[in-house]
Parts: sequence; C-alpha cells; structure tokens
Amino acid sequence: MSPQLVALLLDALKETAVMVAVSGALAAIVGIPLGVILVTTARGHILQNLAVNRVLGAIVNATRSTPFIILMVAIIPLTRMIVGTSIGTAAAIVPLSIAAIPFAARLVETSLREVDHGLIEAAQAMGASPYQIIAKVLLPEAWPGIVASLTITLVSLIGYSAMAGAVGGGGLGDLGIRYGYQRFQPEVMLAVVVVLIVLVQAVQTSGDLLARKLNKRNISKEKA
Amino acid sequence: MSHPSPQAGSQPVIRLTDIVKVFPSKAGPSTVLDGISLTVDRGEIFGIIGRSGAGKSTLVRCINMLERPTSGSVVVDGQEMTALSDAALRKARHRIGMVFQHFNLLSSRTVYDNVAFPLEIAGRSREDIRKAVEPLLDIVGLTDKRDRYPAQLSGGQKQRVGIARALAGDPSVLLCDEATSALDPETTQSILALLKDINRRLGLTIVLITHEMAVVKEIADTVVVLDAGRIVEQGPVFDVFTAPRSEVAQSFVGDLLNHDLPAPVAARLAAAPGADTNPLLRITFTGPAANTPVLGELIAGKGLQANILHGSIDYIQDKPHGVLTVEVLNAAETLAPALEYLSAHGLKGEIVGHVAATRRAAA
Repeated sequence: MSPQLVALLLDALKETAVMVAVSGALAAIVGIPLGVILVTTARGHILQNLAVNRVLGAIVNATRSTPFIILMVAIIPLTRMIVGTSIGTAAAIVPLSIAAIPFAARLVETSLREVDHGLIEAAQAMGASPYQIIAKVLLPEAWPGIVASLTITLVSLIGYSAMAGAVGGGGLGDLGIRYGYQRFQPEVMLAVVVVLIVLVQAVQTSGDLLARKLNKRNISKEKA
Repeated sequence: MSHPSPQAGSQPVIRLTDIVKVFPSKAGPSTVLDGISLTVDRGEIFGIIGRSGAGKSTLVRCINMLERPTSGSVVVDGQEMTALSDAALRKARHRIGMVFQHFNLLSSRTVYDNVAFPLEIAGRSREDIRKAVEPLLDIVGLTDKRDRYPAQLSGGQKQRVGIARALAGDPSVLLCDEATSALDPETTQSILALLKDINRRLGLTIVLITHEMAVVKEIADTVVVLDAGRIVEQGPVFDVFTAPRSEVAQSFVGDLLNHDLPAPVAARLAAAPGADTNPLLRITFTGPAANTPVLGELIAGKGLQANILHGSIDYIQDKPHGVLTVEVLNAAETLAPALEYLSAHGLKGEIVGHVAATRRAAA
C-alpha cells in the first residue's frame, strides 16, 4: 500500500471517527432522556402523559422512517443555520445526530421498559419521587441495556457516515466510493472495508465488555 | 385478645373504613374490594388471608396508597392517607415498610446499598445511613454478605435483605405482601421466625397477607378472612382457627388440620346406629383444658372402654389444640356420664358417627 493511500485512509478514519463520536455523543445526551420520557409518560407509568407520549412517539417514528440520504438533504437549511455551512464534516454531523437520536431513544426505551415493574412499585412504596425513581431505579437497572443500545447506535452511525460523502463530509465510506468505485481502485475499496470491519468489531466488543461488567444480574455466586 | 403482644390493645395504628375499590375492565367495572373496614392495633401481627383473587393484595396496597381506593378512608398513624398531597404521601410512605413476594431488590446494588436505598430516598446523610444499615444487617443476619449482589443470594437471603430494607426507615407499620410465598417451607419458617422476632423486639406492627393458613397460624395474633372483596370472618387467630364459622375459613383450616376420619375408619362407618355398632366419640381439646388428663380420668374414673382411632394436636399461638377420636366400646353404660364430664371441664365431646363393632366391651 502506498504511503499516500495510508495518509488518505488515516484522514478518512479521522473524519469518520469525529462524525461518529460527536453524533454518537449527541445521540446519548439527547436520546437517553428522550427514551426516559417515552417510557415514563406511557399509560400507567410514573409520569403518565399520553399527549406528550404520542407527539414524541410520532416525531421519533417520522424521523426514523425517513431514509437517511433524504433526511440529510432535506434538512440542509437547518444544518446551515446550526453550523453555518451545508458542506463538510461538521455539516454531516447535524443529519447524523438527527437520525441517531430517535434511533437511540427507541432502543433506550426498550431497555428501560424491561426494568421489572416490581422495582418501581417498591421504590414508590418507600416514598420515592418520579425523579428519584428515574435516577436511582430505572437508569441504574437498565444501564447494561442502555450501553448495548448505544453500541448498536454507534455501529449504525458508522454505516450512515458512509453516506456523508453526499454533503462533502468525507470519511471512510466517501473515500471508498471516490477512489475505489469512481477511480477504479478496488484495493482502496478493500482497504476501506477492512478498516470499517475492524472499527465495528472494536466498538461492538468494547460495548459488550462494558455492558457485561455493568450487569450484576448474572454475577457468579463464587465471586464476592 | 388471645395473645399478649408488647403493646397490644393500645390505639389502632391502621384504621380502614368502608374501603371500596373498583377496577375498570373490558367486561365493565369489577369491584375488587367491597366495603372493607378493619383496625390494626399497635404491636400486633395482623394476618389477612384469602384465596387468589379475593382482593387481599389490593387491600394491602390501599394501606400505602399504591392503590388508591375508589372510596373509603385509610388512616395510618393518625394520618388520613387518601387526603395527602403527593409530597406528603411520599413522606408518610417513609414510615410504612413493605416486603414483597418477589423481593424487588435492585440488581445493580449490593446488599448494603439495597438496605440503604430508602434512606437515600429520604435524603439522609451517608453517616446516618451507615449507622442505620449496619445494625439492620445484623438483625437479619447478613453482615457477612453486605457487599454481595442480589444475584449471589438465595431466596431466603434476598427476603432478609427485603425485610432489612423495609425496616430501614424506622417504620411504624410493616406490610408483607405474600412475603413467604416464593420460598420453600424451611426458608418460610426462618423468615416467619425473623418477622416474629422483629415484632417482639421492636414492637413493630406487621400486616401480612397470605394464602397459606400455616403462615397465619405460625405468627399472627389477629386474622381477617377475605373472600370476593369482603371480610367473611375476623378475630383472634386461635378463635378463628379452632372454631371457624365461615365456609372459607373452614376450608383454610381444613387445609391445615386434618381432623377428618382416616379412610380405614371412615370405611367402617355404619349408616345408622344399631345393636352391633359402637359410637365414635370426638373430643376436642382447646386452650388450657387441653392440658388436663381427660382420657385417663374417663377411663379410670368413669369406666370408659375406648379404642383410640385417630388423634392430632396442633399448637396455635403456642396454645395446644387437639382432636381425639375414639370408638366407645361400652357406650350404653358410660357414654352419658363421659359427655357430662367433658362439658363440665369445658371440653367439646360429640358423637360423630357409628362404626360396625369389631369387639364388644370386655365384661
């Protein structure tokens, strides 16, 4: 592999890493609270509010059903408003985040829903407020599931980020298409795919490890 | 009262008046609790027993407002619970401990942190929490397991954590919702012994709901029998146990005490008394009279010739309750004076049937 190619790959990897890390962080920061609201405002839950629940649910569904490539183009005015430009890595982060937030929120919602209702009831019987139930029961108990959800979100973001080339976002996918496909350099395409495989593998493995470490439900009886 | 509890007989700690709970359902509203009124005295162990679907779980949840009654009044420790604001209700709940059938421990917290949980919620300092949790772990015998997670404990240990946690807020009442139903018989005994010990040592009022008469018999002072959302019987456990009036209570007692005739004796039952039958005399021993040597007196003093067919003795609230069934071989001469003697000593003697005689009385 030529040194130029290596330099190209490194640059592209850096761009992908920035896009995935920033939009992943935003997905966590906004998606976790959104997931909490989706769960707790549902019927029979601690902050039941069906109007809020339905409106948020509809927004989440609408965002999730829009194909990413269309979403990216459709929100160009918003992107320009937020980052001042509609082209480049920073510009790609806006649609990536907007796609990842509802995705993460739904997964987080599922993890939170799996917390045994008996635990919520026990906390209520002790006089816990809704806020305390969220902070001390729902989130800590669902933490392994939330970590797994965020891992899936990151992996999906790596895939979505390949489309960022459409708005000049750069990144590995963009490199693969431009050099590998448009310039007939299959070895670049291959290198990109290999790097992506390693990247996804690394993210998934560390996510699994962290989730397992946080999960005290299967902790063995021998370990003190 | 049948049993001397530490502070029994003083003011009621819980008073429920005309509790009605109606749940909406697809088939129309269903009334789960239909006008329940009861009072629980301070320091007593109060059992609520019923078959599944009788409404007992809903009833106990009405005490701490996990279920809000459709109508009626719930007074705990002098506070009308139905009238409290959300914030005041949370505060009141700090003083009502609850133990659950499935323990409901936080899997992400250690034993120590689970017991500390209600204190954290109440906003107590770390030092306060330590001072409260350590003695509680000692009471339930889990000091050496304080850093374990619930997944590393047995069912009985988990329920001990549940009990310690329920005691952490220094409650005036402990509500137990089928606290032993998920445990094996041996563990059930140890948990019941723990609850009894806590009741005696701390003078803590305990309300426990169960579908097992054995649990009520083991530790309760007073029992309420619930059926289809109504109270069908209530009173001191010993009374309900030895003389159940309602059909439901009788079936609960029957589950536990098998005072029916054993099959081989039942097979010998005659349709009607006749020349070649002997009467079956059933003597029921209850309370202090159970300790008098009645049978000896009947045989030696009254000349009764008896063939013992079946007998059993149970201890309820540490008081003996026994039943003895004998075939009287020389009924003609001795039965009437024997029955007279029994009633004079406050014991119940009744003729429950006649069996074909296998032997006549010795001359």
